[in-house]
Amino acid sequence: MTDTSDTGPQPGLEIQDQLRILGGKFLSRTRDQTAQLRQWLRDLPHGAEPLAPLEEIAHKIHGSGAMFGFAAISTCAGEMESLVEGLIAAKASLDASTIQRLNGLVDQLERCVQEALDTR
Amino acid sequence: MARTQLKTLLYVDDEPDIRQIVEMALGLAGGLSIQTAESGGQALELARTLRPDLVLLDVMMPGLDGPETLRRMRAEPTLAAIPVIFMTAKSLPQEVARFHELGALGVIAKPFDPMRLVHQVFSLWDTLPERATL
Repeated sequence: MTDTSDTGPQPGLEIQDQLRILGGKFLSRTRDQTAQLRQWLRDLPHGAEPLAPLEEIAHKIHGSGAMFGFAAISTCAGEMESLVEGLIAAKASLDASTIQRLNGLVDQLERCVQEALDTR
Repeated sequence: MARTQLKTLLYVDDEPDIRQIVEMALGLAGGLSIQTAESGGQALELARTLRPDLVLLDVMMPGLDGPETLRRMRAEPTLAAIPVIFMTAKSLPQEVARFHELGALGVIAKPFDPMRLVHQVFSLWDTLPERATL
C-alpha cells in the first residue's frame, strides 16, 4: 500500500486547490526530469540504448501533464513517447537524426515547463 | 438477488500524482474506502487481503502492466470475480474492445475529469449483473 501521508490529499482543501498544489509539484519534478533527459541523451552509449526508461518518463509526463491541464507539456511529452514507442516496436536504435529530434523535444518541453511555471 | 454495494476500491497506478488525484476524486463519493497500489504485483498482494469490491487498473505500468495483472487476477480463484475497470490514455475503439475481451468491466479514458470520476465509476459499477449480496 502506498503511504501518501506526506503528500497525500489534504483534508479541508477543495479538490481544485489540491490539484493546483499537485500541479506545482508536477512542474518542479518535470523540470528536473527534462534535465535528466538531456543528460541521458548526452551520455548515450552507442548501439544498445535502453529506451524503456525514456518511454516511461515521457509517458508519465504525457499523462500527468494532461491531468493537470498543462496541454502543451502533455502534447510534447506525448510526441516523445510516440517516437520512442515506434523505435522500440521497430527494434531500431537511435540514429543521429532521431537523437536530434529528441533533443529538440526536450528543448520544447523545457520551454513549456518554464512558461507554465512563469504563469503560476 | 441484489447488486453488492460498492464499498471498497483498489486503485493501481505507478504514477503518484494520478493516485492522489484519484483518491481525492473518489473521496467525493463519501463512504467509499479507497486503497492504492503502485504496481501490479503490489495490487495482487493487496487484493488477496483486502478483497476489494472493485479494482481500477492503470494499463501501462512497468513490470506487471494492467492487462497482465488482470490476467493473473482471473487465474486466482479468490480474485477471479472481482470486477476490473481499466484507466488508460489508450482508449481507441480497438483498444477498448481488447480490454473488454480480457474481461474488463469497462474503460475510463485518461485524462479524466476528477469531478466526474465518481459518476463514471458508479455508472460502470451499475452495469454489473445483479448477484447475491455477499
